[in-house]
Amino acid sequence: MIKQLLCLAIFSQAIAVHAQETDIVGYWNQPAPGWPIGGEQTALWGFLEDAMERSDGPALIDFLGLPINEEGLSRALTYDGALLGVPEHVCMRHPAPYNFWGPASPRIASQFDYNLDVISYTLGGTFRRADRTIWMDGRDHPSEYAPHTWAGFTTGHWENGTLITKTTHIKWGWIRRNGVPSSDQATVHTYYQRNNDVLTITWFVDDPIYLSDTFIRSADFVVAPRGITTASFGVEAADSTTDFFTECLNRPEIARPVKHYVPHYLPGENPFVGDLAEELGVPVEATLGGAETAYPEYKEMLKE
Amino acid sequence: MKLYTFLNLYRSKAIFLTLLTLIFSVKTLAQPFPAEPPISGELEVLHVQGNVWLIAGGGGNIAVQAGEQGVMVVDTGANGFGEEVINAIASISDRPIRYIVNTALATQHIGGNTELANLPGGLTSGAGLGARINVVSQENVLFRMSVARDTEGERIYPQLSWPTDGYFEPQRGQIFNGEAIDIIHVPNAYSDGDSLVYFRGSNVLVSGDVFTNTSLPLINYSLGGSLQGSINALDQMLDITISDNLAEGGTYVIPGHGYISDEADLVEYRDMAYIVRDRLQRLIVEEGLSLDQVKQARPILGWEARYSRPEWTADMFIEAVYDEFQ
Repeated sequence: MIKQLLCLAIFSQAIAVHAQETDIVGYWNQPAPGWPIGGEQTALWGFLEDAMERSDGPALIDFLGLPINEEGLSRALTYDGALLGVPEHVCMRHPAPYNFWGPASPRIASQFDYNLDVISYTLGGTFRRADRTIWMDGRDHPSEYAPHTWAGFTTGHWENGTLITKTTHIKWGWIRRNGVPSSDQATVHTYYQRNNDVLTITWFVDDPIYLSDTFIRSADFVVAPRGITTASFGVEAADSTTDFFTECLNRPEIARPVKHYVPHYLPGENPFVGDLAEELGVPVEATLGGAETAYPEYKEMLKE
Repeated sequence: MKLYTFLNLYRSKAIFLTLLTLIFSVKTLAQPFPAEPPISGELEVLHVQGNVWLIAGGGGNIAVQAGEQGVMVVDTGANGFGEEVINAIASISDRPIRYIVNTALATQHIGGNTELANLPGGLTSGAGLGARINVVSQENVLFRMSVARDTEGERIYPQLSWPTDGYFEPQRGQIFNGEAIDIIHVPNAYSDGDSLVYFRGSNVLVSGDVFTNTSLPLINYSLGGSLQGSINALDQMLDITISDNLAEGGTYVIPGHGYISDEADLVEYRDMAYIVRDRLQRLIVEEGLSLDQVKQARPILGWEARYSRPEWTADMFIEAVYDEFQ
């Protein structure tokens, strides 16, 4: 019996060591050209899949592949980028349904209880720091009357070397940085998988208000063992004196005659509809998204 | 003698207001008015910030400010929850209730007035004698509650539920529990008697039904409400709120219904009201569409799934506000 218990203890320890090996704690950065992967300096990674999102942002009216419903499309077409110059909007953080897709250099830390069990992870480094706490201690999600935040409220557990989390209580925001909305009713399930020096984060957004289907995205990050000292895409680093990522005062960027102004396009008046379609040589409808545009068959259908 | 004079004055004012209401009602008879959302019935107490708590689940949200001087309660929930609300307040503080503020004449915000306002000495413990509770509202709430009668001529609101202190100035200030408190009249939003209550020290703003995160703007035209007044009130709230760094936290807002919010949540709601107004303006004023045509154009698309609910649908909202653009 004692032998069996000992074996069990050793086995448990082995599992714990394995979990530690695949743990996600540390500094991560976006894979950039020339970044060494797996110790090989020759590896060349660029912002291939996510180039637009990770730098200047996506094209206007590019909703291709996004499973938005008619409510989501209506709001997306209402969006006017001038909104970002309005004081009430200028400082908004990238929300949980989006923030790994946009500019991000995650820093992940763990917190222990008295027995050194991990009770939570904290994850910072997404644009404007919607820092996420991932509670690992089995606590419930808060009351329906509790405040919503840009990061939301997250709980998680490990499963076969993957950290699986659930996020609720998220603020209204977006799933893409060109006005495609997400609502305060959205739930995000996120999977964190580490493979040596690469951390792959995959997230599933379920939004009963704006999505007809689950929205799925993944983003890769590479280990940055010396810590992140520079941010990508030409903006100032979090550690610099400008604190571009971490501080923002909601001041107007454009002087307007009225104090409260909400830039938006009325139905049928968004001037950018069709621009991308013309550039890509696809029908306008394709750029307006919808679940069907996420599947390979849609491409074949367009050809027909 | 003074009381007699007051009652006479009050009665004549009440008759005048009844006449005004009747005249106004001729125009608004056909306009739907918002029924408030279903009640969960399970009360929850949440600490918001500073000296302020939220009691939710008993109809409209109830705000409680507590300290050494006693308790101030903003709104009293729906009818039938008085005892539960008193117990919830007692769980926050054993000090007596000294003030009740009614943010509007809305059934889920004044329903507990009778039970709460008449606690002996304001004590939630059920014992003791002392000063009566002061029930504050904008004066139109008091007038409307005092004159309202059903079809058989019976009072709708018992006298014991009426506010005792109807203010008429645009803004009233007082110190309670060492905290400066603003009670601000926002005209013609949900009704003509809406009050915001801002607890300066705690940095918590209580909105009543001027702002909810459960419904399209609640506008009761028969009580003097309007869409433009609602938008003005939301803008006025944004002038009060200040977010913490990076658009989160700072001033918290307790809405009439729904979850504890901050400025970013309020901005989202204000933007919706603003855009819907502009869409209606174009359809009704510029294109001259009929009510049915406007409904078919679906000017609330983008927020219907989130805010339209059986008691206050997108179509009911359009029917209610259509005349405001004529």
